[in-house]
Amino acid sequence: MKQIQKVLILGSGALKIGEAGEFDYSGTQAIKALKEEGKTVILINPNIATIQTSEGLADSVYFLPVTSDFVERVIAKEKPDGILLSFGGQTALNCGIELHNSGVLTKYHVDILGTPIEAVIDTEDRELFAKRLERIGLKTAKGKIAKSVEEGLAIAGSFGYPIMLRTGYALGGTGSGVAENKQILSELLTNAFATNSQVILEECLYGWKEVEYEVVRDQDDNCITVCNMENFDPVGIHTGESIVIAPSQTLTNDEYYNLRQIAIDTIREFKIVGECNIQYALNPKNGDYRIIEVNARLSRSSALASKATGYPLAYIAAKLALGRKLPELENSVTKKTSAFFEPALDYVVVKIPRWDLEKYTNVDLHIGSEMKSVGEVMSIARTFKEAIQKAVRMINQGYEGVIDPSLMGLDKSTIKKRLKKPDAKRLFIVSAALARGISVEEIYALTGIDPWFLYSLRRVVDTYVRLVSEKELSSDLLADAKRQGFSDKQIALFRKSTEDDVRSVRVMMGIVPFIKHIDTMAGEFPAKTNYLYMTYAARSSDYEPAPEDKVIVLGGGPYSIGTSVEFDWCAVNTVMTLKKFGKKTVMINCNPETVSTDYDNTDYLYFEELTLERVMDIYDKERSPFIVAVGGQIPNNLALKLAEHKIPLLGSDAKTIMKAEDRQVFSKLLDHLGIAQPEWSEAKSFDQSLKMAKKIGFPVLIRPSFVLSGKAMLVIEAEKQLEEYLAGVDADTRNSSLVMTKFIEGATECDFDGVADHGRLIVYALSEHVENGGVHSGDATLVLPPMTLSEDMQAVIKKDAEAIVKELKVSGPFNIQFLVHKSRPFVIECNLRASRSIPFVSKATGVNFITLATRVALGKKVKPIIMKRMHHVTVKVPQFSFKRLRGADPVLRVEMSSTGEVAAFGADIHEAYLKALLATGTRYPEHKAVFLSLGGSAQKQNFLAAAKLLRSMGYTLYATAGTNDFLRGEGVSSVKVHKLHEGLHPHYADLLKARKIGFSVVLPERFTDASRSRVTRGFTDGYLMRRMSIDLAIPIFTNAESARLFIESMHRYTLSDLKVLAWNEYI
Amino acid sequence: MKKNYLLLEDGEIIEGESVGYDGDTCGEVVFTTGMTGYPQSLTDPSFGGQLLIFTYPLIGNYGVPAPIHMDAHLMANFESERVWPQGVIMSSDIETPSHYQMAQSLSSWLTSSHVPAISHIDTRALTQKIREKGVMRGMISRSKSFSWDDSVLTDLVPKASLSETIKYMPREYSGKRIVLIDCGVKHGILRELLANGYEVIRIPWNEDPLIYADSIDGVVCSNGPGDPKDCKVTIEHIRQVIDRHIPFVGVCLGHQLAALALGADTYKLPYGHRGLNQPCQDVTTGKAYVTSQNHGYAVDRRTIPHGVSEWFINLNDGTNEGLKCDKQKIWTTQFHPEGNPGPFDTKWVFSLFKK
Ligand SMILES: Nc1ncnc2c1ncn2[C@@H]1O[C@H](COP(=O)(O)OP(=O)(O)O)[C@@H](O)[C@H]1O
Ligand SMILES: Nc1ncnc2c1ncn2[C@@H]1O[C@H](COP(=O)(O)OP(=O)(O)O)[C@@H](O)[C@H]1O
Ligand SMILES: [Mg+2]
Ligand SMILES: [Mg+2]
Repeated sequence: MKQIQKVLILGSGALKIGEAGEFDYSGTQAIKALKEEGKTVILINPNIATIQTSEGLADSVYFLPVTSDFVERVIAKEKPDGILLSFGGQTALNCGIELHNSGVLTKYHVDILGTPIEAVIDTEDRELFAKRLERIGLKTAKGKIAKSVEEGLAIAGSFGYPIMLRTGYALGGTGSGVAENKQILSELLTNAFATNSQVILEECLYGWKEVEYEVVRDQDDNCITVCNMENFDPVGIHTGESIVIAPSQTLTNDEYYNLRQIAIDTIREFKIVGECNIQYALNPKNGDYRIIEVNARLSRSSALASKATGYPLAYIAAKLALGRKLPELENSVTKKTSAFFEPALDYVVVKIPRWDLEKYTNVDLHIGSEMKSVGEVMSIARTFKEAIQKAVRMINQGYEGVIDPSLMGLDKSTIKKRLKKPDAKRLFIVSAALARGISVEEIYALTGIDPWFLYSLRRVVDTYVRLVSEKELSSDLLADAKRQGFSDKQIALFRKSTEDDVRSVRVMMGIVPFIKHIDTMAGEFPAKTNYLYMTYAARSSDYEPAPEDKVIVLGGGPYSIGTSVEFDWCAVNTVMTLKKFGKKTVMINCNPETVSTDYDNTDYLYFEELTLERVMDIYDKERSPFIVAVGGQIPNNLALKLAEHKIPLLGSDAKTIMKAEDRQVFSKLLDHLGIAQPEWSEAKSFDQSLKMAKKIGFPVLIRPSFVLSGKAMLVIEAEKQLEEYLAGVDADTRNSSLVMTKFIEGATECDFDGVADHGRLIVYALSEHVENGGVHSGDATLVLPPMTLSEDMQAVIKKDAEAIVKELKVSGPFNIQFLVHKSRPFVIECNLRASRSIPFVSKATGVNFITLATRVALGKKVKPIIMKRMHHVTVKVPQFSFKRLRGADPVLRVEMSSTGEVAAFGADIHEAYLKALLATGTRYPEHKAVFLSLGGSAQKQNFLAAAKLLRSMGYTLYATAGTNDFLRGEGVSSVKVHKLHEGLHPHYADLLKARKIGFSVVLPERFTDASRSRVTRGFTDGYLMRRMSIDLAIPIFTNAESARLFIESMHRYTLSDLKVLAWNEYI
Repeated sequence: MKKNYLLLEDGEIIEGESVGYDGDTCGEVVFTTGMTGYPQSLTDPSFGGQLLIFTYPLIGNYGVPAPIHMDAHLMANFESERVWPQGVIMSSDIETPSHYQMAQSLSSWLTSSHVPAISHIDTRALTQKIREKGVMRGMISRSKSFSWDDSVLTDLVPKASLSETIKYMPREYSGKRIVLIDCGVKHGILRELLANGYEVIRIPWNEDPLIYADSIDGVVCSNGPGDPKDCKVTIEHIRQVIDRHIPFVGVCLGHQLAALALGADTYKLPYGHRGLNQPCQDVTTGKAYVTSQNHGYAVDRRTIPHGVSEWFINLNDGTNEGLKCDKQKIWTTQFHPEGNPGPFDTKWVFSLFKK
């Protein structure tokens, strides 16, 4: 192998369903390993919110699409010696395969480090994969290739149903699924062939146990399996949708070590160097097995395995890719023993996925062989019951344990139906079934969940019954309950008491949790690092915190819609700054995908619940102040409760937080300061709401104090709609309050991010949204510096913001959202915490807002920063996962639906926007043809200029009737396309399926359409057109402003015009 | 659940809950970090005289299978015909196991085997204590008074060894015949020898293998409980086998006895190697293997005599894990190539007779 000095790493880009935060963790570890080996590291990753793209890690960072065209241009410029493909998920892997096949890597003499590309190709191509394994006597699911829908149906005819459809080169099971009958199969086939050239139809292994191994191999063929994991849910439910337990619980010695040997034989067959994940189906009736798939790269499972065992898989894989040998590497926890070993666990780990399906319209709520979860949590304890109940609280969706009291009243037939066809509440339905006396055997038959787990859950249900019924809460009962993972809060609920009372009784009885180390050796060797968890199944702690100059940072918890890697960036940068000031750092977090839960990152890491109970348990031991302003919504919600319990907080004090959070108080404050805000009022009952709505004047934004089908906010345009909405709400929520706000149409929204010190503004950045108000700030395209806001308007906004933070005496990070309408700024929201745009503004301006916020929190002297004038434009574009959520309407609304973000730098807004948009997977249009359905007349009007621009670029415009008439009326030639229900050809389905469309622009009829379809559930034409574009992977715009910007950008820049510059060439 | 106590030699008394046989027992307290394979561990004769701590917190998950006899005094799915530890110490005993091969729960098996056990023990804290202070004597008792019985740790190999000679024929005979000196052999070793096609003559620990000297292709000395220096007779027999240049393989205790026969010395490890993840490196090739181990004594690598070389070392603490002399066809490993429980990356050691 030639001398490798400069190494290129490909990132995974924006977080999306099936490819999330785990790749920031693996990429960051790989960079650490490479820098230790003295290499120069070049990183391409457009995800500006990640830690791996921070200054001080890679030598240069390119915020560019991870696509072969851009990567080739970076290779030509940087001339790396080697490239790492296995640390950026499927995106990096697929891009690497393209680079290899197109000969770019050989042309520029770039060696693929680690696993040879042939191994990657053979493990991704299901047919080659099955053949090579069969040759060495290993079993895969019997299957046949289909290259067309007809061929697929024919194979299913011979195999019989149910049958499994699988696609190659996909991740998160895209396009895969189990078909019970012909009708379902043909639907799955059509969807799959939209983006795949081949599919495989396989014997259905539904109901077998699903087991995974993480395997590591070096150049000298030394092999170890670092961790095995057993899925709670059987084969048929994707591993990313399953509750997963490490290590396996129900495998005998022979099963465990035979599958281990097969994993080693497999990694040797494909000559993988580094790490890979292997997935098995294991027949619970006779021990037969099938290899389901191998991922020859770091994955969600390897991130989970690294955190579950303390073995840093990505770090070791990177070292092995450079040719290092496993036996010579060190165990980074004991710092004494060898990295060539297999971790022994003396605890149980449970992972639970986090779904946000109710945030989408029309999406299928069932879980199956395709990934739909957006995040996950991991819990550690010394009994399975305690671990699974802790994990349930960690997902932060209001559950206190496996018992969901609201489901206890469900009738048996509904329970059995929901056991058979599982949705995201499956675990709680199982507990309800056990509580209703349905037998373990019957639940096993309906769900395929192994009786071992069901018996454990039944013990929890038995204890629930005792907690609810026994007269006296004896110390034995309370100790049992705590060892089985019941929270004080839930015990208080069952005993009609309060959380604080249960806690004080418990502590008085001496029933307290103990702190244990993760040491990879089950106690055989002492750990030198402080990777900690708490459990009740113990009698003493491994670690008694000594009084030190410590600060405790609360992490962001599981990723979900609205909370993603940007808050991990804030938490990790807070820790880095604390260390610079000589502080000992403590992190509390429960998300295995993050850098913040890498035990190397802080002096002490509690892999624990972000709940009041557990945070107070940790405070009782650590006795140090908290920073709660950097982890997003979860720590923010905890802030007030911690203050109530006299726990010291650094940064803004409780009174200040209270003022910003209380709507009435904050509104009065704005009036007092003479700052405009949209008119609003709070209707205490539904009857009052009609009167108030008329007073405020439609359209009105309503925020119910309850959540209706996952939606907390709706825009209502007319009285009739409000009546429809109120009718749709059931009786008992009839008299809960409704906050009604004047919805300002067509306003320019902007985010004011800043840091203040005791009310004095230290630094700020004002980002303007491309999309008008009404598209949630998390789904908006952000532009820095602002484009259309005048200097004067920006000054007015700054003055307002300064007044607000002064009045509130803010200390630390804050975010104020403005709507500018008729050249007047209205404040719509103020959060006294780091917002999701903090990493964006920090990296766009080169000023790290979190470093300053942390200095303020520590009471250090901080001078106001005068921002240099920016000579570039940075644009942040949201990443959506609608392809992965079949049925979901891709229209944007007042509630957030994006799963991630990217950003890019450019000389102007058009160059920056185009690069960023391409980085979300949108392809530069190959066909100069566009499909338009522009909705209401106002929308048609303000799209006219863009339509003319398209014509000037030689585009053919295909338009539905209304839009076509409008365009022809304005002298713009377009081709009429029928809607489906008109029954005439060509209709838009013919057009889209013919794949000659570059992109679609389908705007909602009325901007409130999205809200109405929430209520009326109707499948509007707009929805059907939007959804078909998504399913056929045709780029689609559902917002007029961003569509217009895209067209202007394409008009100004071709692909090759876009400059390829590193971050440090802009800052 | 009934209460009982774990009493340690240094006076500590730990309350727990009674599992398995309702009685008192005593033994040397040791820990194993294996995460699966408790049926194999509990029938490993090398645990004779010991109270076995499982560091993995949930024991009994898949119950215990019905015994399957493969041949005379040879089990197919256990490592011997009885439970050998004096008692078992665990965090949680799983009373509701689940597996298609399960015949009974762990607790009922221990009860019928007259082996007392204790659960609800903080096995991590206990393991750390053993790690810091070294293995010590202990007792599982329903009362809090510690009473030691010396007989528990005497004549361990004689108790573990079969007292009769048995011949086993493999399914596919490779033409090789091997004598196995049974010091408490794990049946996994026997099964592996038969799988290699050897005819096996299993002789008691103190019988002279040279009776068969002119009709055999090698001698294997098995694992077994206790201090290698207690087996003077076996050491002498092995010295004669080596002097007669009969190919020899020693496993665990067999490795230590061969080392003593060659003039090296052995010593007691502070807390031994008991687990399924011990990393060993072949110093002649640099290749590393994950190994299954259960031993309290080790060969002192500084005393390895001329004529035989160090073969394997433990990558965690550098202790000796094997000796070899290709010229005289002597191969010994401290670890268990047959696995059972644990990995079998090194089972090729048993095929060396065919080279
Ligand atoms: N033959 C099969 N029968 C039934 N379910 C299957 C089969 N193969 C895979 N699955 C299910 O589909 C899920 C996704 O398949 P997998 O090959 O792992 O794709 P991905 O690359 O998305 O992980 C698996 O976790 C498993 O639960
Ligand atoms: N009065 C309003 N008029 C128009 N759009 C609004 C108004 N209030 C909120 N919005 C839109 O709704 C989005 C979400 O509202 P916001 O108050 O920021 O809620 P959240 O707490 O979810 O951030 C905003 O980003 C903005 O686009
Ligand atoms: Mg998979
Ligand atoms: Mg907002």
